[in-house]
Amino acid sequence: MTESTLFRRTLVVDRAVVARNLAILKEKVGADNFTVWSGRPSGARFVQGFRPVAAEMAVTVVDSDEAPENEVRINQILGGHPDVRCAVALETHLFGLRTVNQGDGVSYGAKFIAPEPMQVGLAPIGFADGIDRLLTGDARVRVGDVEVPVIGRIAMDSMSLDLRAVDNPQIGDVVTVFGNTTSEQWGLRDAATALGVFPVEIITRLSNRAEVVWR
Amino acid sequence: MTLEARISRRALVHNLQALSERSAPAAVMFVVKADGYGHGTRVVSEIAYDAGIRHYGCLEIETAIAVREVVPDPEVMLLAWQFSEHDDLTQLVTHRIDIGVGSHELLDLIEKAATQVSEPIRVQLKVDTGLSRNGFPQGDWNSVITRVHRMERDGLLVVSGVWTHIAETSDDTDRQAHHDFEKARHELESALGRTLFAHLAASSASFRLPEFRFDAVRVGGHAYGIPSFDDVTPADMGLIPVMTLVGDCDPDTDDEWGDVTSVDGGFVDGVPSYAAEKVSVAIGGVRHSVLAILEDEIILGGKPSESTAYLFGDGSHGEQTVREWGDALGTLGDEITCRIPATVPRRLVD
Repeated sequence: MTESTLFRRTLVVDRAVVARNLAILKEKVGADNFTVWSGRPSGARFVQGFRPVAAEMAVTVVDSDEAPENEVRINQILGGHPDVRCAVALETHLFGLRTVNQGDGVSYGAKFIAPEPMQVGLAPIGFADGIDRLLTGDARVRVGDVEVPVIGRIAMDSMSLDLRAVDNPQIGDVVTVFGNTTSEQWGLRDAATALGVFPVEIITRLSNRAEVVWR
Repeated sequence: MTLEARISRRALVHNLQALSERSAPAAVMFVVKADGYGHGTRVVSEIAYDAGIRHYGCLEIETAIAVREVVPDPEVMLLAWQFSEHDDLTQLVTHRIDIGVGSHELLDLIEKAATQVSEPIRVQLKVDTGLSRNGFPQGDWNSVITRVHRMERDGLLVVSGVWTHIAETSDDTDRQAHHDFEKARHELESALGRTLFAHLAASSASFRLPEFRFDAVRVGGHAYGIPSFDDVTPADMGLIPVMTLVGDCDPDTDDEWGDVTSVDGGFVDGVPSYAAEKVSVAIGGVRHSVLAILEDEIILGGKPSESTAYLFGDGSHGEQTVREWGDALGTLGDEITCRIPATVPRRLVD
């Protein structure tokens, strides 16, 4: 565990994906005059880490409360734009593991009933972290490299995970939502489709309490 | 002003006092996690202390420390329950924080930390009664009792409470949970030879079911004036919504919609775009339909009669409550308030 606590919620930004997205949009918009606006205030938390990537590609960053319509904003480069990959992952760790019996309900209202004895994991992120409660029943996360369903209602600060596909899960295993997923994996665009919103909104409304880390 | 969340001191005090009266003699444990459901942990904690609250539910240790800064009275109980090996557990003693523990692994951490502090750590043991989340399985309870009894004798911890969290699936499963909790509590109390501070119920059960109240009820949503029951207004329950979300608005025209109102705010401020066509916004006491929610603009049907738009609040300006918004969106009012980012100013009023 690199960050200080199991419960730390981190927004991990993948520098390489951002650079690639930037190149794609620069090409699309036209290299002359290509400027990126921070956008108020949701992009502000990403500006500092974004500057070196932009500088390397000779792209001007305007850090401003204003962001004229039709100008490219950081959140679009992070995955909000339809032509680019998602560069942001919400990352945390498994903090609870338990075995439930066949027929046991999981989480509020027992929307999920265990079909067999199974291991259920608990991750310390919930709708307060930007995983909309309406994604209950849809959302999937990755435990290590294995994609697993979120089961039961998404709560304010936690979600339960079906760990049947995970070999020997451990407290502290990395749990990731979104990020640069493959087309087979559940990701930002699937969440956006399920909610009927643009992907940029999901990035914009991701956890206030998560720390932003560039890797 | 762009968008602003007005926090009503009067409403919060009213709710906490009304809920305290209702659940008495059980105390209200005021839940202030997720930045006080978006209302501001420090602000609401301080107001709550003045309103007589002496128990706080804090989730993380850092939230509990934030509460302790504004509520220094050492008699006030602060309960945190999310921690790991990476937390500095000596802070529990420094700031007199009770820690909720629901697994042997976490008890190991308490055991380790106990050697570094001058006083026993105050531990509230959590038993799982059907939520399948973070309590000791009932099958482990005997081993837990043996262990904490020994740890208490060795001066490593003091068991300061016993609790659970019910799943609110049905009255039957909740009654079973109540029964299982009673059994676990009795077993623990008879082993330790004393009665313990016990709590089971959150907002819903505490409001409806007196026998679920024990020594304290953990109240989040209701304290903020957000009913947890269906088809009930805050007023029906004697509660007042604490947060009112307000924005400046201007008349505008749109090619498609004609006369519209533009409100300064949008999904960047936590207002989900999928609320469009589902909720209304009040201006001058008149409700306007929401046509679209963009990044930083909300478009309403019709011309505004005033320059202030009330998105949701206590209804005194004709606006919907956040519970109504939640119903319209298929979620909880709690989700809407707790997702309004810190960049939207909170202003304490009245």
